[in-house]
Amino acid sequence: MSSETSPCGQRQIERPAEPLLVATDIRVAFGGVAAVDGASISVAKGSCHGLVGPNGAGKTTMLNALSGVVRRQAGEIWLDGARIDGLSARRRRRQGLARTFQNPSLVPDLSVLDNVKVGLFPVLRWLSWRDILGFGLARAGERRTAAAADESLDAVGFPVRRRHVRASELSHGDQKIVDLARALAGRPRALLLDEPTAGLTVDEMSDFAGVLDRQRRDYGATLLIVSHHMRFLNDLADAVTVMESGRVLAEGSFAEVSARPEVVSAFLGEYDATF
Amino acid sequence: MLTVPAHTRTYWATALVLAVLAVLWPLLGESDLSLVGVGLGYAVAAVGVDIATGYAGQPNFGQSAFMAIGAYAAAWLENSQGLSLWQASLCAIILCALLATLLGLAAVRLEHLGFGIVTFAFAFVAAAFLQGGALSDITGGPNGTPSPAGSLFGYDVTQPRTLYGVALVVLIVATFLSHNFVRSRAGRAMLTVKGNEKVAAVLGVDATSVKLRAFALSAAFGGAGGVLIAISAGFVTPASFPPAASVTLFGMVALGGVGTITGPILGAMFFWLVPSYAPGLEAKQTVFIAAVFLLVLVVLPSGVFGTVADLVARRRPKLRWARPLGPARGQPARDVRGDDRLARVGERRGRVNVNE
Repeated sequence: MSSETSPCGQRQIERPAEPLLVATDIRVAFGGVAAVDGASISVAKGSCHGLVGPNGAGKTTMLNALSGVVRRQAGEIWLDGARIDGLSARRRRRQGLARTFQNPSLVPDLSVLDNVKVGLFPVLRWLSWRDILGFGLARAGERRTAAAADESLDAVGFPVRRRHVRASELSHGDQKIVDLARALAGRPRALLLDEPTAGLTVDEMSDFAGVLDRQRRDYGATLLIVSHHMRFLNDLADAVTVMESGRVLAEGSFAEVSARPEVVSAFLGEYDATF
Repeated sequence: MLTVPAHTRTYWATALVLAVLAVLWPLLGESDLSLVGVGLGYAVAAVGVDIATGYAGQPNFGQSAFMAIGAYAAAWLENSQGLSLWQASLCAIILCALLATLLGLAAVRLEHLGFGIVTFAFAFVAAAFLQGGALSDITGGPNGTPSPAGSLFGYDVTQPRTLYGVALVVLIVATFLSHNFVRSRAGRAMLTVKGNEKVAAVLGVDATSVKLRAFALSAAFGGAGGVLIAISAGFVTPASFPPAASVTLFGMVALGGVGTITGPILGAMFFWLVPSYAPGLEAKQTVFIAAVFLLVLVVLPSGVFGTVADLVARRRPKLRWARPLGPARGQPARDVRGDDRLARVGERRGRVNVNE
């Protein structure tokens, strides 16, 4: 819900936030095993939405289905009013749906800046023959690409002096930040993050949370985050969806969801009094 | 599959190698010029193999077929269709690129070594087709056909000195285009696709298109190399470009360094010139190439030039390569613990810490 002042008075009016990414009754099965079994999720525009659940709940598979990395057997996916479930992962990216992976897959031999430039493919025209000939227009295009990549690295606060370092030279935390900058390049409409805090130190995690918060606050980014780190999501997420065994168990604010007994038992198990 | 780091800043080394080859031009005798001139033709084709293999991750084992097609097409267009040498050569090169695009439409969708197997099979099919009866009016069947010849800007290209100059210019153009290609968006896309195709797709990169362009450019260089070698030989026969030449070209690339552009030039010169100059080695060329290829794969998997480039990169100042992340100049060091700063994000958003 978002609130605003009515133009005719002082009273605050509440209006439901418009959903940007909606998935309904998604089913993904590998052989006879349904990793996601009729799960639905709705991410409001400009919000930060958490997707949590115990191991094997189907969170990453859900993210893969949303981004087109795996094919869903059933269900619909809508992005800003347009149905995208029939599109390939590449076309979904061009429609403005970006994502990161749990392990940042940067090109190790490219510099930080060049890695982020790859993220600009959906928004910059492909002029390969001009690039091959290397004429002035190609150089101008390269300058524009570099400026846009620099802007994205600025947004995540990556230091200027380290942008020509090879990606293979970076720490895991820095690779995650560069991966985020690459996903944010070209300002996607929605960003899906798979375990962004995995393998990060507390310092790096707080930096990451700050970057995501800034993205949401300053640029109105819409985020869907899969994470095991509850403190991270509690501080960041506006709403949370809990999954278990491929199904949605609960939805709501973090405080509401964490108070529900079925959510607690999904994470911690039932208390066995006979033990 | 060879997994060798791609070096994108090796253009100075390429320029140095080309400068040495240019200096040799007026110094070498006629017979040496003829020999090195053919080596330059192989170098152009090997650079093409490197584009597809080292950068796009598509092992091109069919380069001998594109060399043959380029040579035959240029010969036919010049001898029978009345085109000038450069027109015939250009058309032959474009034909190679188009054929590679058609073949690639099916082959680039195959994973792992599927592309290599398809291109290697194409080398055998093309060789059989070119010496068969179906195209004997154009190719001369098993007897072959006279090479493209004639003059280029008033110079007789069949003269070894002229051919060396032309081959050197073609190699310079090929390396210039290659360096531009791998340093541009196309090069970044190729390396991303080579690294992980799923990640490339999620980033909006069209892997099929990227691989097709790389393969087309690779085949075009193969066609250009084939034309140069055919001019030097004076006659094009099916034996001029046997499928085994594809493996030799791959060996040239592996010896020099996959994904380096400069390495394949050095590899081509080594594999072509050493057996030619070493007494008794020419007859055992296949064994020599196989032995060197295996030795390089085991001892120097990055290739000779690739290893040198790695060593140079490691000797660069640490400032450029591995400086630990700390506070930027002019900014204070962190004085707040990470979990406190994380809590501040929550506080700013009006959250209550569930742990408290």
